[in-house]
Amino acid sequence: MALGFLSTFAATSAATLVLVGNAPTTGALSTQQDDGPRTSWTVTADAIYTATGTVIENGFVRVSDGEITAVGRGKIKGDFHVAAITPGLVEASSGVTIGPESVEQDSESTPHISVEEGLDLFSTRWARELSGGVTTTMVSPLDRNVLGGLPVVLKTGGGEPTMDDRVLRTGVGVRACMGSEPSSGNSPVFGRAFGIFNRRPTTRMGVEWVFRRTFYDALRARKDADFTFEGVETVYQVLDGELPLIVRASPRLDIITALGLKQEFSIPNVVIDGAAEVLPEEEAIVASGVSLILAPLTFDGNTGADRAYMAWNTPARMAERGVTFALSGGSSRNDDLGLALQPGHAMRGGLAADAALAAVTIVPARMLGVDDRVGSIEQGKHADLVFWSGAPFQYTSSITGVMVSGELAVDPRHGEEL
Amino acid sequence: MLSTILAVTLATAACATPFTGESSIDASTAQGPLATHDARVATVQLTTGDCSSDFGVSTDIGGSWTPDGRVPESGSALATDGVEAAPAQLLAIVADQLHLPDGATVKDGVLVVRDGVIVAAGEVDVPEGARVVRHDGHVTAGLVAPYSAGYLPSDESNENTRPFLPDGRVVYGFDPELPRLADALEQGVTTIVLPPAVSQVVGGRTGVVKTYGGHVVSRGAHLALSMGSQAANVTRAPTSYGGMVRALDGLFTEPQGAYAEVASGNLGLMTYVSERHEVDRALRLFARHGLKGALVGPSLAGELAERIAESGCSVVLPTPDLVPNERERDAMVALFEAKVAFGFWLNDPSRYRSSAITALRAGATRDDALNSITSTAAKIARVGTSVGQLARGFDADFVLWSGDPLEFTTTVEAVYVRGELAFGGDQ
Amino acid sequence: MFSLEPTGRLKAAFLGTALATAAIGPFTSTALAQANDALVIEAGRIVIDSETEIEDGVLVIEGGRIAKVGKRSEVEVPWDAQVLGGPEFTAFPGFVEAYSARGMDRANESIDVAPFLDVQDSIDPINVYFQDCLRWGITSINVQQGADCVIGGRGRLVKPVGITIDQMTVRPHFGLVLSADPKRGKSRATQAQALRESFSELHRYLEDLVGSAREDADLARREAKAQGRELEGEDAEGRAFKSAATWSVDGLELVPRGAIDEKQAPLLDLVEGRTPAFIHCGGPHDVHIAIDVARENGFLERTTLVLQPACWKAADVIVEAGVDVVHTGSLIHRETDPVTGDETETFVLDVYRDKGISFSLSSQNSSTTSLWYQAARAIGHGLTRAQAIDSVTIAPARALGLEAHVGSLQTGRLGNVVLFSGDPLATTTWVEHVIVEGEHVYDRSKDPRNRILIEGEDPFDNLRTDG
Repeated sequence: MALGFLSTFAATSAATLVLVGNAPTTGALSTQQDDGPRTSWTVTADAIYTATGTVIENGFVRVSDGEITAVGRGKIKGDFHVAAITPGLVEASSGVTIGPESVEQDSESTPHISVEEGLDLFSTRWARELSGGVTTTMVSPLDRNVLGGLPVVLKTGGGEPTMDDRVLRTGVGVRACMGSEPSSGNSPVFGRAFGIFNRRPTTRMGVEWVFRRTFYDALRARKDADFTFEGVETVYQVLDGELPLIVRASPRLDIITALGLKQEFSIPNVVIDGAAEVLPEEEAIVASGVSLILAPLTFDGNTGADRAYMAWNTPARMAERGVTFALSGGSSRNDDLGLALQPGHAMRGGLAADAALAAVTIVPARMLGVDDRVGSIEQGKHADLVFWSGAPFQYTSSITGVMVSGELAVDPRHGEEL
Repeated sequence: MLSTILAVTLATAACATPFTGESSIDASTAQGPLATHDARVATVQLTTGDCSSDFGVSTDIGGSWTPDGRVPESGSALATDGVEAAPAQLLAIVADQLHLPDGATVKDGVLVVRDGVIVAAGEVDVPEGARVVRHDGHVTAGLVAPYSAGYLPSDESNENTRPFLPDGRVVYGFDPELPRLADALEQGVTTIVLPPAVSQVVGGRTGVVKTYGGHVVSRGAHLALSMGSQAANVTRAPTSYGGMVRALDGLFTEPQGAYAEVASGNLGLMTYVSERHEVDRALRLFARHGLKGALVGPSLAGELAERIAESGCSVVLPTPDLVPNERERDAMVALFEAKVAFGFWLNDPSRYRSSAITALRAGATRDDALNSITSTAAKIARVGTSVGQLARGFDADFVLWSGDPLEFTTTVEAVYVRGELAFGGDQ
Repeated sequence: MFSLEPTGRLKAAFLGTALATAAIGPFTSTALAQANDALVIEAGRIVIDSETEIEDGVLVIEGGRIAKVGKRSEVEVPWDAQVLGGPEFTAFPGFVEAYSARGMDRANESIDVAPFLDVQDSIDPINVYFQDCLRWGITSINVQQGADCVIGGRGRLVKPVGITIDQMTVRPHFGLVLSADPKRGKSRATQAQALRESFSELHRYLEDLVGSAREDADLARREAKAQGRELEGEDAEGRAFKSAATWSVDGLELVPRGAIDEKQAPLLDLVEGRTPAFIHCGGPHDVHIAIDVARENGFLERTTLVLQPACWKAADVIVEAGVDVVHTGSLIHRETDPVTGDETETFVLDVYRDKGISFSLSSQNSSTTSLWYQAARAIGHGLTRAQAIDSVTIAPARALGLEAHVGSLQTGRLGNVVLFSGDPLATTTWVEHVIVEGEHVYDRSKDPRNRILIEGEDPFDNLRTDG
């Protein structure tokens, strides 16, 4: 097993071990709830990758009522044993939406409309994400608007498919999109029946103009009491840094645009999503202090987003330069694992194993403001765990089980492997 | 057709404020019969019922419509205020099995009808002088469809220039000569709800009509919402669920006009939702604004049955397959168990009654199954105190069945609407 | 055409390869003329096949073939041979692509029955696919037409080296591609009917020919003569019809083979077992049709099924027919239950393995990426390491009838070797060098595209003036 960064931390992990309550000699004390799926377990593993900088060899995780109550080292009898455990993966750029109905297109700038009403919690796509190890995800409106609205962060499973049970956080940021997507499908008025697509941008400069107009209008509304528009409060929050601007920009030219807009309006808090052609603008990115959600790495470098190209060493370089970045799988979980393969790809491009793990767990959790509840294996956090057949993220390993909020979504005990 | 006599007898004299509380749009649509039927309008008699502010109750707010201005031959169904149409005539049906509202079935029960209205039902004597019809089978109330599709002339249900048309009234698109109405009648359906199309968020107000005689039971029983994907249309606002919900939230916050009527319960609410997430979204909207009403279309919302029950909403299910798949059946069972009031869509009339049989086979009680196409359906249609039951004061709409209406082998032998033989029978 | 003698043809091919090398330039570092044409490969580990590995080994390639392989301490190495590799490398047999419709200028023909075509006319030697093959260590490729025809053209075995098709060719006129999978807009029944009808037509055609020959009205022959095409050798002779087909043609020996027209000749080769068949199947129902047609017409023994993921459901039929399969597309077959809406995922190779079906992987579908990666993922999904390695080396070699030449690093096999930077299936391992028939044809450090891809090098850096 390739526990590359394991030995470094093994010693400290033993010292920092936290045991809550009594340390029972048997793990069978997990209580079965009266109704609903069981949410209390003790799981043992050859290695537990906590994403807090430690790897615990021969350890256990105790889960009670959906929360992690203890993480420790030592051979105890658990409910089941697995080769390796990582935290549930956190997808910062999910493709799970219900499609065009997730974004209000009657205006190209709808910063204030939440995607919450555009979700289908009954979709089978959640289960698909979940079985791929993703337990938390951010969902944004489909990128058909320049300013598309408010994304939400939610769990992919656990409890009932209701907003109460699933939504972790709203007000994560405001979604914006550079590039060709918001302008594709629009047309000039001439020669076509009038429709909402007539008055929208058809080019990148049009897209940028819509963005800038919205922000200039907001600046004006601040000064001019008689002037306002729908969603202005949301734009204020972006200007004040209360809400991050999560802007999709994949090719180099769009990244340049996004960085330019950040500077023009002094937007304090910017996350670039789907970032692909990052290396050519490395210096500008470092200087701007933006965070990145990297586009999914592919074998031929073609990310599929605006034909943007992404080199394999991009994550490694970003780590070297101290840029905060998360990896993303997008909606790529069609043939095989989605996000769960990305750390392997990043490692292939030179990223260290612990950084690769962090980039799909605690870093995106922090980016989305939910790191108090998910993103690492720590006492008090949601019991979101991924069980592996071997070293996590190796191509020759598989996900054998997934736990979300203490529920076994994929049961490793029955050989229900992917 | 233009030569058709435009003999419109508006009984509005008796009705000082015929459209209380409605906007000017509605006042103009009140002229709808002139506007929409001008090519072929005949007699329209609006009765005082239209003054009623209580759209959901028993008052017959209908009128009668006959082609070419002719008075219906029997004349018996035309009891309107101030107009004594024909001498009262008693009709008595003596049925082998008479289905009464409480679920009881009376052997050799008698149904007494005068002026199109039931005056007595059950173990009563045949009044003297009554015309007697003996029926060696079951008699139930005429079937009521709480939702229908395809019973308006094409496109007449979809005002596609307005995604929000709260004061539009579907009933002005009602064509009593539509052949499908006769098809429905032959299957025992006597009352149907005409909804606007589901492609607009607020499509207008539903109408409740009879399948025979051009009777209009209600000109506005519900405000019809669509929260289905069809209403999030990419050619106009709103294009998304978010936009739709945002707009509805706005309309139901300090509501005006039709929305206020809905909020106060004076006007019903009928909401089209198909997918489970759409049901969930509607229930959340309702909870925010204290609304309830009929949810139309959620065939697979089994998981949401408890929440639907808590919300106080009823459900109108699409016509289930004769042998519904496991998931549809589970959803039905969950709704039955949660005691959600349910009815069915009327689409293919020959399959309307079989919806109730399917419900029975899925585990509904006999009463619930039969009620789902009669009294419960009428309640969902908000005409539950005038149709859907064989009880005193109700419209004399009833069906003479060859046997038990919840058996596949049973056929319709005769249908009466307002005491008038509308289909079948050789009496 | 496949030469078992490593002299003559291979020497010529060698020169061709060298020329190609010069053209592709940046990929290789090999000097053209070595005093000794032997190549010695040293590796910390030599994976001979899925069962045998040698630590600290050495491999000697002479005349394009593996002359010796063993522990470094035990193998005598020619003193003047070129030496490649080192202890940090793992030597691995070149991957074998059992079926590919890539690397061509349009892999599909719009005619339904087109056996007269040959992929030699559409293979594009400078297609990036062949470059990618080297990048990922694929050294033998069975190039066949796509699945659009009912009966497609003849295929060709190639190596991804050379700038002309002749240089690339390992074996020409190899195999014929058939499809039981109807293309879009066609029904399964039409497809099956067209497939069967092609062989009925062949049968009728041959009987007519025999009839004509018997009546001494050998039109085809006369026509050939009239056109000045003198038939020679085998073409001038007739041969008895020999086939395991359920039908037969008496008196075919009366017809010179060269008189059989170019549409029917490839089909006759198929029916007589002279060339292998590759039959596409899109779903389990296609498998039945494919096997039936192959059995009726006597070429089941030389049939390999090219399967889409859904075909696993026909595993029992495949077992019974005893044919090899090439799995294309996703390793996972995903289905949605029409009633519950739940998705189920099936790891297809698990089924084949459990049923004892010999399966090969394919990088035909570019989105599933190359063979080594698929093999690694197959292990992730539950195959053993040996099974996964077999499925990209010896199993495809066997399916192609090439197990004596490729698919392992045993002595006598072609010198097709991949040098990995570490364990061949580990996430962080790269293909560092590729040797094809003893020729060093790929060096990652000199692959410009790789530098852009993996190291993010700016391809236009050297063109900038401000630097």
